[in-house]
Amino acid sequence: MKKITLLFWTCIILIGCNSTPKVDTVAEAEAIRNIENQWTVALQNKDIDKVMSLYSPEGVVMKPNNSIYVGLQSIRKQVESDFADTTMLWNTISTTIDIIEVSASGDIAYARGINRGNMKTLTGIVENSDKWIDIYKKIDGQWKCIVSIWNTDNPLEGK
Amino acid sequence: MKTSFNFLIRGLLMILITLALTDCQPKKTANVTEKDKTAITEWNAESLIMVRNLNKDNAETFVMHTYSEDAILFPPNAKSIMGREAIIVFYQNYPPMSDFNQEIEEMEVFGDYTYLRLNWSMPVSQTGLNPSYIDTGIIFCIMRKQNDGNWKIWREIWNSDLSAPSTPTSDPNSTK
Repeated sequence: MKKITLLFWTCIILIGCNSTPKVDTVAEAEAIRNIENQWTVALQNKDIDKVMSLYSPEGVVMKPNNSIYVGLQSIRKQVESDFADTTMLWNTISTTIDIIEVSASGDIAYARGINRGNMKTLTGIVENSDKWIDIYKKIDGQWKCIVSIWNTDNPLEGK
Repeated sequence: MKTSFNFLIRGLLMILITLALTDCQPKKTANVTEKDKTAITEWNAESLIMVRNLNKDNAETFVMHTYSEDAILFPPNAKSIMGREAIIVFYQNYPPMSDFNQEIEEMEVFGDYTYLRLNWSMPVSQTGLNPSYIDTGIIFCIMRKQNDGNWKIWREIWNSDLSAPSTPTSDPNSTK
């Protein structure tokens, strides 16, 4: 009987150890929504360090009409350059998140949305609208942005 | 009574042992990923041929081959395009792209999703400009495995590397 009991518990432990923990995708999506909101505030305040803390070390930024930025050092230069642009009224930026989806494995997520912000132009202040996609990966228990790409809805001048 | 109890215990143990052994089997994720990567690479080669021959008549075939039913495109300087029907209309009005090229730069498979980064290039001829120039940029796709096992683009966004033509500000696209 002792052998049977031992075998029984061995099986139970083996099953328990190998079972994949269930992912609370709703909670994970909410965590990413929180990060996106922090990102917007960081842009409004031109907080470079905060923006940089959201990227993974191997993060990739694909900004329109620019070469690709790979890695933190390269991305920081891009953010610094953006924040130096005085035509952009950073404090007017707002973000609408359209959707956040977390994979069943709980280690990758996709978010997309629209950023709006005002810009100074020769003809006055105009609103720019950018659509964006961010990919997040869970690294050491924290969500980090591994890919960020966006482009504008606004037509090219003259179109 | 005792015999029935022993049968019950043995039966239960057999089920538990089976469950434990099944759970301990090595996962086949690695193999599946390599198979998926190969399938996506082949899909990309086929898509490229279709893009180069794209016209009003075969746009629908191209879209059905390439995009999922609920796909969304995010073209630069335009609003998002949602769903196959709208995407077909979009490509029916696309200029000829016989010299278009795209190469996979990065591919990561995550279960039923894959993200794909491609470099694209296309010679552009403009009236009054000699020689014409080569436009280059990045395509970023999220692909989703369909019920039939095929991979299709679910979300796609792209940009040009080249500086935008004269715009009212120094940088209109810096809000992210």
